Amino acid sequence: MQPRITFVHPDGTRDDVDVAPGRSVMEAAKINQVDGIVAECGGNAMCATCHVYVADEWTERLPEISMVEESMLEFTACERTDASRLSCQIEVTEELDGLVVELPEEQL
Amino acid sequence: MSVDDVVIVGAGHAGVQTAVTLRKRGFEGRISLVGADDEVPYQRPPLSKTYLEALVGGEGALGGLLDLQPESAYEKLRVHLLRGREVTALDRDRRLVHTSDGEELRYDKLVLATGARPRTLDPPEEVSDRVVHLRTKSDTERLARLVGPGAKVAVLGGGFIGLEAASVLSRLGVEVQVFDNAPRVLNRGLSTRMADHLVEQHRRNGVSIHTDWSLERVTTGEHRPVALFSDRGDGYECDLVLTGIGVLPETGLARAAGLTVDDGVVVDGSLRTSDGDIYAIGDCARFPSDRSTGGSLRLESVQNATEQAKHVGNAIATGQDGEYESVPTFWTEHWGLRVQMAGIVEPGDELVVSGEPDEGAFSVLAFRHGRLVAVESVDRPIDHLSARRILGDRENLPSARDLDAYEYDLTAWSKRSRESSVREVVGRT
Ligand SMILES: Cc1cc2nc3c(=O)[nH]c(=O)nc-3n(C[C@H](O)[C@H](O)[C@H](O)COP(=O)(O)OP(=O)(O)OC[C@H]3O[C@@H](n4cnc5c(N)ncnc54)[C@H](O)[C@@H]3O)c2cc1C
Ligand code: FES
Repeated sequence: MQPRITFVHPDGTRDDVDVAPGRSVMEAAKINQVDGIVAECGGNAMCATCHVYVADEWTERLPEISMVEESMLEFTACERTDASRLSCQIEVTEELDGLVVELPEEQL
Repeated sequence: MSVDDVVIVGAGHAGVQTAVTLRKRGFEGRISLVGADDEVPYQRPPLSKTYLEALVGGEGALGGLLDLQPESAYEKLRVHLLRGREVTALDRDRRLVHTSDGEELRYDKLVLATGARPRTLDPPEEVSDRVVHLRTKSDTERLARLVGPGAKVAVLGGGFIGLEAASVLSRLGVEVQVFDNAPRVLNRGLSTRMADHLVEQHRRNGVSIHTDWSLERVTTGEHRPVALFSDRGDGYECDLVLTGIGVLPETGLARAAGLTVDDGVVVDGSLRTSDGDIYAIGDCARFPSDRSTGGSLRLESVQNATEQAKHVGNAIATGQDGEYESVPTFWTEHWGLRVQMAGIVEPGDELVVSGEPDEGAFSVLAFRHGRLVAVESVDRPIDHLSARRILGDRENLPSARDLDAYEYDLTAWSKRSRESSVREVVGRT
């Protein structure tokens, strides 16, 4: 069974997608046509246009933020919070089944 | 006058973003987006990078990863997407566009986002199926069908697209040689310092680059399907010729309709053509900019297409034209090196290198008349994003001396300058 990821749009609507482990959360959105992630650099942690807010109960359960991601998060279009991550830097694993992330209003 | 109908010609990066921005900014009228390509509108940069790699490397198509917007978005946004259809003429008196299937679309505002088309060689017929360029998805697919490990490819033209493809193909076991008639490759839009660095990567990885090499003719080869000959008579046989010899702005419609054209559809500071109800954006448009010594720019980049689209979408939705201004950016990838550029570099700019090129990560800072005008970075995205901020603040462009005091650390300088400008404001009250 493929892990399920839920994207919550700014207007509250939700998209549930199933995705193969090994893909990034950014790719999960792109492949499944979820709107709201730009990913200008194609997942290289170079553009900060794949910003998401991770739901509270998940922030602790994700892999740590790398130095590069940390500094890139300073450049997101919408405000950076404790819940902010770059979705291209989160690899989908079976443990992440049920992950919920919110999409910001803007990426650019 | 109220705006009910907007027609956008060209469904590439600029056209699609215009439609999205119009809706996001509350435009309620009808949006028609006409695109000659049959595919769901897609991103072009991967065509010479990840898409090429996936196809030639056997990973296969990338599904929806290339789509500019999910296919379902057009319906959701109530955008009337007419795919595989060309606009054949503009009728400015009646405010109509004619499409290739005989339809007429009425407009109150028209946006030309027709992009550019590759310069071509016009090879003789017997080899024409072996001479390709890269602009559309089907171009990349065609190239991928014709090459595999062990194939020989000649890249004609050492620009970004040709050299990106050279690095991808060569990594996949294709023998690649690059031919360019200029004394240097990558000589447009990049500093000589960064160009030298990238050329060195290519050479080190086995891509031969021949400069001052002018093509005399293309013909069938004896051992391989195609042969190239220079004006000095040296020949090279290969399976495929990939041309990357530049693009021409797609200005035919504008010209035929009597709009001002000069290597691009000429627009004013708010991106309007010589007809105030018609805008032109993206690769096809030439706009005024003092970032260039020549006073105007026509840029070929995703950022330019996207930002201009947002500007025009916003202007039409709100009824308010404003001056367009944005820091030009671009990126390119060679042998795993990711190069990001901010600003416009020109020959003669003074260059300063920050960081250690030999260790991989560094930036080239370009100064003109003593002020920072552009930054090119290899694997230093933070420099790049800081440069965007710094170059966006036109009143406070740092000099080399300003930056030297911060050891050319752009992030530190931009933070400092923001703090000091806050202090100044506080001081004045
Ligand atoms: C292989 C490749 C790699 C690139 N890599 C990078 C990169 O790494 N970074 C970067 O910033 N930029 C890159 N670019 C440039 C970037 O893709 C372009 O600047 C961008 O696509 C411009 O967007 P546009 O909307 O102006 O034009 P386009 O994306 O070209 O869209 C124009 C569309 O208009 C359509 N059209 C034209 N005339 C008509 C008509 N009469 N009727 C209907 N439709 C019409 C065309 O079919 C086309 O689909 C690359 C380009 C290519 C080809
Ligand atoms: S896709 Fe560019 S930083 Fe994530």
